[in-house]
Amino acid sequence: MSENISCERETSEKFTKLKLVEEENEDDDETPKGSPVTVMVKHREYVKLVSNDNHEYYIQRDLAETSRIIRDMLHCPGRSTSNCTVYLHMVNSRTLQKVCHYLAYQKQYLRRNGEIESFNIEPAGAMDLLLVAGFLEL
Amino acid sequence: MDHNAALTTCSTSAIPRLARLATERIAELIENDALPEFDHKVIASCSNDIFEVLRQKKKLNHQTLQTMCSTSRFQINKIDLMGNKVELQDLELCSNQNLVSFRLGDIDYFPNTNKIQVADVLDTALNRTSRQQLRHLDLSGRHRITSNWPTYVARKLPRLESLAFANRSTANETLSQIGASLLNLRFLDISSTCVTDISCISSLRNLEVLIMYNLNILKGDVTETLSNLTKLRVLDISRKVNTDYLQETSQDAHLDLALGIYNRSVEAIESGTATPWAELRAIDMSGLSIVQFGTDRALAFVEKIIEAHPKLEQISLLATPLDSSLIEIPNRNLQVINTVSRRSIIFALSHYANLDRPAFITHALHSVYYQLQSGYDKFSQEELKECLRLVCISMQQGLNTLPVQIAGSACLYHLCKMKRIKRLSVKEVNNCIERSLDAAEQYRSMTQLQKNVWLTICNDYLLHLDEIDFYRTCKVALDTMLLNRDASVERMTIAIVSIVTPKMRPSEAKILTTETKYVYHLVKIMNDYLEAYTREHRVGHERDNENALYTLKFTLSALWNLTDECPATCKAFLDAGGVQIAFRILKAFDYHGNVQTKVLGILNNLAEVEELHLGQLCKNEYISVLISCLDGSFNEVDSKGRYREVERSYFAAGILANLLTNTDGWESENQRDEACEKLLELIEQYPTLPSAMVSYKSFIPFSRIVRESNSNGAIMWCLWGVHHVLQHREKNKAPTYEKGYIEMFMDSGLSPIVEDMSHGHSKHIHNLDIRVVHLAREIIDIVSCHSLSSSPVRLVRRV
Repeated sequence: MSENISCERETSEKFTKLKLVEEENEDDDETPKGSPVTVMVKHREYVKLVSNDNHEYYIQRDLAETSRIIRDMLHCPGRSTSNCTVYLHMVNSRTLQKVCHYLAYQKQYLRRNGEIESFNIEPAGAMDLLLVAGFLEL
Repeated sequence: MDHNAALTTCSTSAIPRLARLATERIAELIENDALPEFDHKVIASCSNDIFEVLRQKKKLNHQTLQTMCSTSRFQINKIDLMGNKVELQDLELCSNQNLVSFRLGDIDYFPNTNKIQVADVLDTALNRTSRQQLRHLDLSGRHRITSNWPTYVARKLPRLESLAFANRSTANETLSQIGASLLNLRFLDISSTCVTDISCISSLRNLEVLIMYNLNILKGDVTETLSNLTKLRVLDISRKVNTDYLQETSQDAHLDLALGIYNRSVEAIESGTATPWAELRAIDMSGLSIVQFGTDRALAFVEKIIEAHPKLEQISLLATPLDSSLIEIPNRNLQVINTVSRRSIIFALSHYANLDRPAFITHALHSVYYQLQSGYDKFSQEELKECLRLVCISMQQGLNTLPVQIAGSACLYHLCKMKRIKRLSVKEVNNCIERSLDAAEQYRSMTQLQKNVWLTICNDYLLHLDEIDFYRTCKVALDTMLLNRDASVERMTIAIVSIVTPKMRPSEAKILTTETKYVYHLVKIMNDYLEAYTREHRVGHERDNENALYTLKFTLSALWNLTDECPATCKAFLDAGGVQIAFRILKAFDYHGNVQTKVLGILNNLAEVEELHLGQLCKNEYISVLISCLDGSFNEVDSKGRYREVERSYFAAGILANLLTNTDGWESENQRDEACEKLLELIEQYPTLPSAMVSYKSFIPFSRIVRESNSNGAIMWCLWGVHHVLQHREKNKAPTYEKGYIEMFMDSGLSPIVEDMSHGHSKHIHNLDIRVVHLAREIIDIVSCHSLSSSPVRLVRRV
């Protein structure tokens, strides 16, 4: 499907742009379909967040679990799929991307002395972001 | 309930929450009337938060209230108007929402009388549903209100559980109406009112929160009254305190509530029973003297109260004899609010920052100040950011309280001092600057506060950040300069003006520079400091000497920047008698090239303004001074690599070049010839400088002279200037001409004229001097090389 293909292309562009993934795992392509998608890079575990329009975001587990809601969704017992993917049916890709930015931003906030850019929010996405922030308890 | 609810809106975390960031962004969009359309309803908690951000920023006005209240997009159930200028028509907008909580603040609605007509106001702001469901009403504020409002409240607000009217001049009679009719009340705040007898509230048996800050109770058995309130969970009996002496400020005798509670506590402990207040969770005893049995027994006094109330979780003891005591009770999870440690100070400030307790905020800020002053290095990054955030909130909320501003500004000084600023983000630095400027504007004549503010801002690192609001900084500095003649304040504000003027956007700079009152004042300062310097130089007070010189230099720099390409400012300088003073300075500082250069820079700006007809500069005396400034040891380099003598000569030459072109009013033709010849002779001797010493926004000052002048010397100066910037065009680009200096040269129309001159021809000068011809050739060489190298056709491939 052309749409999905373009999603994936955009997603990989997003990887680079977001600088959330430091290096691709070479074994990724060989992972057989259906098995747990566990991406281990430099001993840090990543989880996958999926928006309602099927954009996928890989983010470090510890960042994702800043949100109690996401943490609970990851640890939900009895899930048939792996505990590394969270489907966020109420969040569109633009907002989810911003949420991921925020999670990285807040980790840097205290660590870096001095200059840190302000967290910019586009007018068009502000309302959605407020709702999602409330839902995710961020 | 609502007293403690205030705490939840004030986050104690330094890391900004995403919800908070989004809320603030939306509030900003509403403020600018730029909120995009959206199709869902915003729930009450989010809507309330957005409303509260607008309130804190004092941006509640007709437009923002219309956006928030008039549509069904926002579901607001809590409206607080405190601190904003609200009118009756704005209250009507509030009636579009169904409220459970309403705070009025002070509105300008006094028909016929001097008092706010509470019944009218509530009828306007609260629709039928709001009146039916309202649980919290806050009538706190400073203006006078009508006194029969409890009757209205009892009749029309059946669900009311929470009531506040702090700071009103409400007396006992009104309170007794409340005691008689509002029996469902669970929260009551009567702080700082005129109530002297609280006996009537013994009927309010459902009270869980009672706030009695700064009350002078003179009558009745207070302990007996309070003992009827067995559901009390929060009790505030704190008092305003004189922070210097930790004594209660009121000299009136008043009944001691703390003693009554203590006595009941002792009785309860001894008899193994409970006090009437078994449910007590928090007690605020800040500001109390607790010296009933001597200061050394204060701890024992408080420990008895703690012991007798096993559910107590929080006790505030700020500004009491136990302010710096470490209080740890085994097996109790008790939070003590005092200033014993850095962490507790920050917590105390976070507790009071958003509440109406300026005395305690000031006290906490003093403690923060001492911690920063003596132990800055012990602050972790998180503590530092939290501290800054709270100091700024306190200053913003307490703008009308001078002690808060003084203490806060002193804290900001320590937070931003020198390199410490590198630990802060640009947004945080901007916050500090905004709060400092607010304070400076509010209290212009308070010298100590002004000193704190300008010491904070007069920071090299700070002033070199690109993102700060230079316009506002400059404006407030200029206005302060006009109103406050304290020597150190003057010195700092002028220094700041001279540094930030070139950093402002041209449109902003224009607004300020056309205000001639600043120029007049600066010229006056020039004069005053010249006289002071001359006088003290004779008397020999070294330190004052230095200060006067420092101020004079910055004044000159400020004037130099302000007069740059601004005819209005140049005219103001002229009208203020600046020229005469300028020449006196040139003479008095003939050994001080730096000062002379600044003066010459100002006169150069003036000379460029043709309309001023500066005939007065052509006096013998003045021309002699200018000619003497032309000469110097041109090859001398200072410690920073600058050719100061060339700079001075260049500016003096510029003035002479303009005078030779503009004015016929020369007193002596001989002097005219002498000036012309000196220009030619000395400019030829200028060495090639390693970098540009000037930049030009346009070549208009040059092209006028080159086209019209019949003086070789004047033209020599122009061509040297053009040649100089063209030579260094790669590293020092034209500040406002994007295409660069070569294009600026071509577009100015100078090219054909200079081309002619390079061949020895000129349309309006008979004997073109050979030195001018040489310089013209050098310019043409540069331009030709440039066109060759940028030509699309290349004969030789560059390696």
